Amino acid sequence: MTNAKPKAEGRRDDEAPDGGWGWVLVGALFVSTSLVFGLMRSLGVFFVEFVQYFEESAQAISWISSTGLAAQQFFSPLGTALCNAYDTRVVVMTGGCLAGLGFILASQATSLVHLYLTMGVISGLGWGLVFTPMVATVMANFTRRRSLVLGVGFSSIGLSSFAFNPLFQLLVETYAWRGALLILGGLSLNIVACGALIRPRRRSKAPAKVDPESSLSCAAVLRRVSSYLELSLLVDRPYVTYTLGITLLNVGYFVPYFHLVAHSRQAGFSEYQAAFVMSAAGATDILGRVVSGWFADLGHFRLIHLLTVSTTLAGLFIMLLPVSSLCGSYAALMAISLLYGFCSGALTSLVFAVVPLIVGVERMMGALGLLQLIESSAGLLGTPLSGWWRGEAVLSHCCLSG
Amino acid sequence: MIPGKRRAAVMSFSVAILGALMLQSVSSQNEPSISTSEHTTLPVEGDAYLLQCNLTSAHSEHQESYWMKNGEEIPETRSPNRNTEYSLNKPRGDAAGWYTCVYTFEMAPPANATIEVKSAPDITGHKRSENKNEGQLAVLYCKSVGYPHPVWTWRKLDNGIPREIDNSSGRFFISSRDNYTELNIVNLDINVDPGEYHCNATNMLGTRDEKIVLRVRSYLAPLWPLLGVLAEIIILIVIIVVYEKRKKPDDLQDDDDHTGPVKTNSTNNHKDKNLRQRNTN
Repeated sequence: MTNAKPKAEGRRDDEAPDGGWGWVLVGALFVSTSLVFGLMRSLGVFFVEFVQYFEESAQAISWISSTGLAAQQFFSPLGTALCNAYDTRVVVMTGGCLAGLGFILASQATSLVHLYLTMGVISGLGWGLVFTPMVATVMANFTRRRSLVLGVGFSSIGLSSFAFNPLFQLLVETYAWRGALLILGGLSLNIVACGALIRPRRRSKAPAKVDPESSLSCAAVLRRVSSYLELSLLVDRPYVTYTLGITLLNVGYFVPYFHLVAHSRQAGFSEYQAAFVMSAAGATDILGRVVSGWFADLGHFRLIHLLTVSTTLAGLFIMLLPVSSLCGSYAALMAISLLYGFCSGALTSLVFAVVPLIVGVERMMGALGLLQLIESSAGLLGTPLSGWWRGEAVLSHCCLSG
Repeated sequence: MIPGKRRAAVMSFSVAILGALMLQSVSSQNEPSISTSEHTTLPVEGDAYLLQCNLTSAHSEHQESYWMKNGEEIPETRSPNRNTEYSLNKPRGDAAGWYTCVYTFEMAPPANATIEVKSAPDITGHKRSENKNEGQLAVLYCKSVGYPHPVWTWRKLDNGIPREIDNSSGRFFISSRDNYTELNIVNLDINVDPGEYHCNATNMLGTRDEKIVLRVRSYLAPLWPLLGVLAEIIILIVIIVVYEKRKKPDDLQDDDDHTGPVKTNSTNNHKDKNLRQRNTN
């Protein structure tokens, strides 16, 4: 007779145990997110070396990280589909191997194209197979504390960029960029260890889709593939509305990070002051992620309302930014930037947490993948548009209320 | 010899000498003469030092005058003056060199005079440290200011003692030119080449030394941390998988079986069979 503990009363299929092994998964999410996005953000040190070594322009070199980010978002649905079809653990571990392999190959690069292919495509593919499945797994393991753990997990991005920048500088100085990339590849392989922590979880999705008689026919295969990709979500009205809202949000999301420094310099502040404003905004961003996650889980308000509020506030603060700098007051600029950082971090945690409330935990995996893909188009468009359309991005925030 | 012929020889000889003497005096009368200020050595007292040239005598009117430094014309120094000046403001090491004032003429070649501004050498350009990989080419350089141009020597510090560079392996190439010197080391050897190198600039007024540290990175160096990280990852994965396998029989089934209504602890069913109660399972 097994010593089975009494199961939690009234637990349905989509309510997960908050805690226990879930916290280990949060740790895994923390590490893997930092190795994906934190690493991506700290590659600036290498770009300086590349400009010198390959004698290319800084713009050509910056395409490396753009390719990596685009690949990560593009391959997200692929990652989630594979998780639906096969085991999440295998997918994440494969993604970790690919990410590490990309950097190890990049250390042998002899031309810029090699870097695009290795650091961009291969590592990006690996990251795509890692990030969204890990987020979905963690969310599946928590119900009441979902936003908090997401906030904690995403705070790793800011914290790790703080830590990685000096670390990468040291690595490049000691080992030259080739050696440093090699070591970075090894570090990225830690994602494999994070993936190993995911317990195999039998879900009703895989068995239900296997139909022995017609499993080989083209239509059946297509149907299975589309169910793994959750393509049916594309006609689901709440989901589509939400996705469009997030897409619009993404148009404006990156604007401040690109233009804040230039804007501060234009307003007459010194280079050092402008850089400090950026760092301070980054710090409150981290804080905002954790605090909003914690607050959302207290349950006083509906998540979607909180998301709307923080988005509107973020938009409001972006609008106030030019006003504050026109006044010429450094304190005002700093205050608005801090508040903006907080709100922008707040909404990041909530964006993902809202998804299972719209589509249910079952389809959450595929939903997140599609969301990443669709919002990536906005990220691609947003930056160039922001060049000649600064304040208008605010309107997109207000559209999110729908 | 016939007396008449001897007299003719003496006559023509003296005419030749007289002619040469006259030519001499005439031509020296035609050559322009320039008086200049003194050669000097930096540093000088005061904020500026004035270089002066005066065309004291010339066969014809000069067109214009200008200054050159180290053989190259200094822009915006052309003027029609006879008495021309060039001011060195707050002269430092880079002001040293040889300055020439030039007077141009319409029908004659230009005349010039040179003033030397000397100073002890000062090394202005060098890299404090150079990091290269094995087998690559290392270029160590030093730039200096000062005049006359210094003599360059390179030395390597060996156990604290500067020693002439030993080129028995044929990998060292030194090229020096005026105020610049380069030490090229091909095919860096990680055992022998790393260390402190000194470039030395010496001229008649002084000497100056600068040090450059050369570090050679081995290709294999990053492999050790990589292997360390890989070992750590493999150990972690092994621990995780083993831990899971050992726990699996006990309580990993909590996610799997939802094969029916969840059982509660209520004992309503068992105790009183006589009592008809509705079970709320």
